[in-house]
Amino acid sequence: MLLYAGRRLTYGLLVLALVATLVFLIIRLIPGDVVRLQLADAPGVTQAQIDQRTTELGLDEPVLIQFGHFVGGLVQGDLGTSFDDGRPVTTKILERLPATLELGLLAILFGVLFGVPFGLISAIRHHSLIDNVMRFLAVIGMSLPNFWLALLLITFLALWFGWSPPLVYASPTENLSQNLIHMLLPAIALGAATMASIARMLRSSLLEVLGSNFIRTIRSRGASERVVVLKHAGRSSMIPVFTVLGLQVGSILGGTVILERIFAIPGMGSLIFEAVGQRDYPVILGCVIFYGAIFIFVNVVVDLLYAVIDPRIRYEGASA
Amino acid sequence: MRAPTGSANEPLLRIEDLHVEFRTGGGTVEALNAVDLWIDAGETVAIVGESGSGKSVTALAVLGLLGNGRVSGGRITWNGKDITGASNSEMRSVRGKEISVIFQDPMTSLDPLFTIGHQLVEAYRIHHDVTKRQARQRAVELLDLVGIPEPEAKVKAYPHQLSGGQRQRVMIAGALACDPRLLIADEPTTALDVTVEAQVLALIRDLQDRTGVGLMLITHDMGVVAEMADRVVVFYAGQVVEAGTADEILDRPQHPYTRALLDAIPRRDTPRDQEMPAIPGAVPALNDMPSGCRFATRCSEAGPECGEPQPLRDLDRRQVRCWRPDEGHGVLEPMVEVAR
Repeated sequence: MLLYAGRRLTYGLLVLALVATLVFLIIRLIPGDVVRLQLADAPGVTQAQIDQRTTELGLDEPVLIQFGHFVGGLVQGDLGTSFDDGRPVTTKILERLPATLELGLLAILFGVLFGVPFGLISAIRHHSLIDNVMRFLAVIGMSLPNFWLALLLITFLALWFGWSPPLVYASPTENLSQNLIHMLLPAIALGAATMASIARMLRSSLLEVLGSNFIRTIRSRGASERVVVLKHAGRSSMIPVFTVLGLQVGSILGGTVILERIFAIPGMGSLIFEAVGQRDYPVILGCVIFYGAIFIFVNVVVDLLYAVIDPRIRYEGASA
Repeated sequence: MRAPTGSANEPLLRIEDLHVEFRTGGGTVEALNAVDLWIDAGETVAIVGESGSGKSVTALAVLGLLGNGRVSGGRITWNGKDITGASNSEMRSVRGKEISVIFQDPMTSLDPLFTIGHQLVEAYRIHHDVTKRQARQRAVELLDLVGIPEPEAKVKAYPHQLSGGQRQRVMIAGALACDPRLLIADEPTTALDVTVEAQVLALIRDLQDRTGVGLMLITHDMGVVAEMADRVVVFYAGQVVEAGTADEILDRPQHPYTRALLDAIPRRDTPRDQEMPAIPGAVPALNDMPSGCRFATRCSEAGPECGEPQPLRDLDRRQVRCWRPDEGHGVLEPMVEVAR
């Protein structure tokens, strides 16, 4: 079990290193450069000043050397300083991280809280009217882009109820209720696809398991449908659902970037958005590494959950 | 040979004129057509026939586990009580407690995510209000009963850690957890090696001797029939075509289908270069059954009379669904050798 966990974690770190390298190179391909953005438009800037600023930021060195500095810092847990305000990238990110985590968790919570019962009902009453309606809604939920859904929600709530989300963000510690009201719409918009994917995956995996031989055995012993569905079929159906959930975390994280902009939430999403605009390489890289780390961490946890759920995976890991 | 209808000698299980149909994409098909059989307490009745003849459907119908199928006619009487239209909750108190079943494929019939101890504890606690500790004691007892070595340790094992034969033993343990009066064994050894098959059959017979449980043994293996059965019911295409005591059926089969089945058994003394006897043709499709004898298209003795519907006729000491048998066909040699 420990070996299995260790292996998953190693793979995760390798992937993260690869991601960091790729992003490091890719952002330098974005046209436009940070020094010009910062100085060029100001009147009376001389070439000497531009060169000086370029040297300050370390951008005069060859890309490989820059990469060397970046890796050197990274392994010591130092993500560098922002080109924009000179503050440490880690500090800037940690300030923004809580809002993003809250939004992501609320979106997942919404997806699970509604997706699981919908999937269950769909499977138990398969091919009934309610199942067909839910499957139709699930397809819609998966197809609508989250920002579009968010705009629809804002528009129609304003139109029909004259209600619009608060404009000023309050952190949960300042004003929890205002914070939650603020987070409600983006969380729903972000979690809708998760809810739909979970409902669909749970429905199909439950139906498959309910037709299997061991379920027939348990029924033949007089077990109640509650035990059959929730305990035995439910447990077997959890693995594909966790897989979907792990992958959904990726799109939820991606979704935070635009939804935080729409709802003026000061999270990592809006930070990276601003950083891209300013070509603030260290901040972009830092954010991507954090996003990547969260995604990889979640999926390592999902891999470990497989082993918790299924003894066959557990023992395979132990003997390998 | 017909079971007496008086209440004093009421059989444990009686199936009368049972019809079962399944809904499919192309309409409903009838899987069972007028099935009659009975099982007395403690006796072993073998149900034989090829795949798709309705053997397993009969078992599932008795348990009320037909899935998207339904009983469309006839009656199932358990222990003097009509359970034909019983609700799921009524049937739950019969399943596992009074009638248990062992399925064909032990590799997939246990929940892979729970220890076998857990599954035995669960089987026992469904019908007994005892603590987990007491039920665990029972689980160890059961594993011991079915001949699993080191039962104390094995309760913690997961199904994938056991061999096929051991898993089938665990299935048997689970089926016997609540001391049922009837055990339905649906091809219990089909998925097992020959040597393991013999062990499992010996185990079932031994447990039957000890507990007096009735056995409905579904099989297509005539060797198994010869070894285990008191009585035999032969199924073909959703109907009973012949029924009688094992000796009668094996020694003097009357229905051409039964004879063909017995002829198809390979023997040790069969010369290697001799072709295996097989019944030509295939079972007619369920949605395209002839109105007359269902075996007529494959029967070497079919005549024009076979176009008429054949009732299950009571002959001396047996029932046959064929108009010809009392013409006195040649008697096959005894099948006792098959058992060895």
